[in-house]
Amino acid sequence: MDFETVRLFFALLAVAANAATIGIIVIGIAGRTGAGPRRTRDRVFESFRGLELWLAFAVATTAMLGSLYLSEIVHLTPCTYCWYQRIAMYPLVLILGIAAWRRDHGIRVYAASLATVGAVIAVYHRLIQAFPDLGGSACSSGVPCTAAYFTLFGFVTIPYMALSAFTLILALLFVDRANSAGHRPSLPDA
Amino acid sequence: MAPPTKKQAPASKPKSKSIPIVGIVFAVVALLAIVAVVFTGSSGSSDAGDEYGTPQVEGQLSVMPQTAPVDRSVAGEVAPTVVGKDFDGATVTIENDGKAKAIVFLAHWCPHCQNEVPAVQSWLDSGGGVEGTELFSVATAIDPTRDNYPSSEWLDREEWTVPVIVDDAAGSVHSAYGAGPFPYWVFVNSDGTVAFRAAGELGVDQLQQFLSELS
Repeated sequence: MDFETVRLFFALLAVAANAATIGIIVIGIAGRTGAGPRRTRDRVFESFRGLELWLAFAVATTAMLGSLYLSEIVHLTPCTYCWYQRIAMYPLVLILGIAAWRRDHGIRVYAASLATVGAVIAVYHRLIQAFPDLGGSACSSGVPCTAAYFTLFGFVTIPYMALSAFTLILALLFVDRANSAGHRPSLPDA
Repeated sequence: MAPPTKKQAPASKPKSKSIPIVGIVFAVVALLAIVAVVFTGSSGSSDAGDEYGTPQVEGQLSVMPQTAPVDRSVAGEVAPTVVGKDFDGATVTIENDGKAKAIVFLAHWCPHCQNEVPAVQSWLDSGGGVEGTELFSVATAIDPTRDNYPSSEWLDREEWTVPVIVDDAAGSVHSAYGAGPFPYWVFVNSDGTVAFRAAGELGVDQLQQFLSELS
């Protein structure tokens, strides 16, 4: 397994996560528009019942292992914003894992808060990669956050992967919330 | 919000066909893993060896402070002498040849270097330059795992005409010149002493002004 293969795998996972996130959002919003879409939404969301927190835990764990692979196996030194995203991601592994085990759906508000913070940092990090002038005019000779280690498909960088994981976790928590609320319509988590 | 319960509320209706989420997740992940292996399996590892040089460096500047974009405290220190090669294997020498000069250190993965190179090149192409001064560049911080690798292809693509010295894997030339943030400009007077140095994109106007400040 070389670096090229692993990073392509993680980039594909990120895109798959994007597809899942968008799917959940579309189904969730469409479900509010009529009886037919609502049945679809209920059927889809119902299929997730009992799995939501486990899946969110799996996403967080994958992201954590991916980031540890990049820093400990391939020795890409994390930049400052990478660290802040790790600070948001790693606790999610523990709290979502424990909550899934204990079926403690009260975790949503804590997990969603962490994931939102992580997503915001990831968005900013991806932005300064795309527009380096936002982050100053020089690349520090250590690890500047404006310089991406790699870019796949023209848009997938490491913070993009993190963002994909954070948003999918939020989407799964949204499904969890909808399922916990029975069939009452509910707004997406902000 | 429901309080934590040990027991999940049962589904309200007899189940309509439910979607096998777990099966789908495993299938997708397995498929993506296969795709990743298939699409990268055949590519041989790139030969990073040719991308590094073996420059000889003599001298050492004080380390570039990370705080100021322009550092004048270095003034008077003697610029290190470098004998190295460009990507075509031609020898390039940076020494006290009686001319004022600017040396720019470029990292292929640094977006600010990626901006600076075409800006300077189009200035040179349109007859830009300051009488009595010359430009050198050093391709450094070369890293096969990072974006826009290899440096040689990047500088070819930009039709970079400034003489290039290829740094070694340890970045010896960059270190000898004080290891400033990229793009890192060191301005040298005609007597071989450093006048000042700058970190970050200068742009053509400032470059022109700095060059004309040299004595």
